[in-house]
Amino acid sequence: MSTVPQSITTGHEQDQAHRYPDLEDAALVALMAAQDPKALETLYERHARIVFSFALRIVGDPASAEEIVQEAFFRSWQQATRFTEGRGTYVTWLLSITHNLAIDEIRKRQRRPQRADSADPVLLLANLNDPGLSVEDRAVQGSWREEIEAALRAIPDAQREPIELAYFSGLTQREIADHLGEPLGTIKTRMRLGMRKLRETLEQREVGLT
Amino acid sequence: MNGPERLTPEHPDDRNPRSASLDLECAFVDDNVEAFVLRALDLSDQQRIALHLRWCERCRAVAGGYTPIPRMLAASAPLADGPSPAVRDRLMARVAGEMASTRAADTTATTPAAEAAPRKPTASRITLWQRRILPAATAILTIAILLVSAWGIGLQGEIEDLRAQTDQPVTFSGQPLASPRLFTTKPACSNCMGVAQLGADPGKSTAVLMAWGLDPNQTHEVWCMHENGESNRVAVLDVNADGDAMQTLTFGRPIAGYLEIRIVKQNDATPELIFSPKHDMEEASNDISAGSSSM
Repeated sequence: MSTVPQSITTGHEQDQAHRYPDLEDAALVALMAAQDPKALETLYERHARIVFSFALRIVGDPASAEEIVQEAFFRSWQQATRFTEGRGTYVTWLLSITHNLAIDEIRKRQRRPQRADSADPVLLLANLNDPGLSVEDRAVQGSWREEIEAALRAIPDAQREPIELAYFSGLTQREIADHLGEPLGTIKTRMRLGMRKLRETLEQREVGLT
Repeated sequence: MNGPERLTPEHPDDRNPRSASLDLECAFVDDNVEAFVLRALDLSDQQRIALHLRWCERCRAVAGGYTPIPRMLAASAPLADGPSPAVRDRLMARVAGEMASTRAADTTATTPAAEAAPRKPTASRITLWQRRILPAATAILTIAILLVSAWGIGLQGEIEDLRAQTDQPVTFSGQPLASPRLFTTKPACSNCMGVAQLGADPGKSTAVLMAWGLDPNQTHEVWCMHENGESNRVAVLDVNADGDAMQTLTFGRPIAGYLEIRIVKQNDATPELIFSPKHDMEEASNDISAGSSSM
């Protein structure tokens, strides 16, 4: 993880000292931790599209998705000092914040209780398998998007549905069972099989489960 | 649900004589890891696995094999055009506003009138607490643990119980195990500002916890992991507006058998403070054996 450059300056000096678009995310986050808004702006320009797309996929309307985008980036600004202690890539972290915000939004709409969060598994395990160029980055670049979509299409609907309801609607297995009118054990089995199949398919397609 | 299925050919704890109890937790991870990474378990099961993963490298590896999937699901969202330019403007205006208010607060904080204003815990504030309040609080805590220790006198019986429960030889070289003592946390990260002490008779399962410098805007929980592999949430801390907490905790087993007792933020994977009772007791035992007295 990059550290804050020793010669942090302010204002115009910063613009001259750093060519922001050339800096990697980690370096920008370190600058953000030193209260440099230009670093946040650069990260926003770089990742706002995928964050917005992800939020829109969950909440469904652009206005709410935009609010979530703003909030997610603002939280990353506020918590930048904590990020530097090893949380995987910035975009993984940012999408995790976005996911939480978006799921809370739809639970609020549906008058379901807000999710009392435990540790986010992706962040908890982020340092295990975060490659230099993240999965999300590669997907945005288009190189893996088709592979991911093909892998999702390859698993049966009955197995994909509980996975998508859990991830994109924030439902627990119990809530999914109620929603689909299926026994809880059936949902657990389908989710497990779907996840394993998805993992195997992605591995076979070498989509980089590193 | 299917029975436990090993996802790796060899379990690292297979050579460990205490692997049976650890295996129960590992088997639970194996059964639920797919739902865990999607956060589709009930909260208690979600937290149970999250805590286990903090200690078990083998299960971290198993779960880590699935974490690219939610990340890929996130990346699978159809790419939209992006938010309107107004979003960036609002974001940057918000950041500028926050920076301005922070600067104003810093300026105000240097004036005497700022003394009465509520503040977040800072390093200097912790120092003040440690210098003035901590000694008094420690005295109160010492009285409290003396009361706790007075609940039971059967010293030898306690040692025998502990031996039976920990399944380990207890060799404290003639020092009474039932002596109440203070355990002190070590910070779990460089940004962790809090400090806490746990007053307990190591042979008992009740303790008094005092903590300072916690973030009052966060919910803090106490989690513990026993040497037999059990991990449980013990309590949710009642942290006051100043970031302080004091409460009695009841554990499932005698304190001396716990590898770690952690104070963690509910929404954060990173622990704030860590007690290591078993390690501390063993160290104290070694000191006693070496002729010094640290208890």
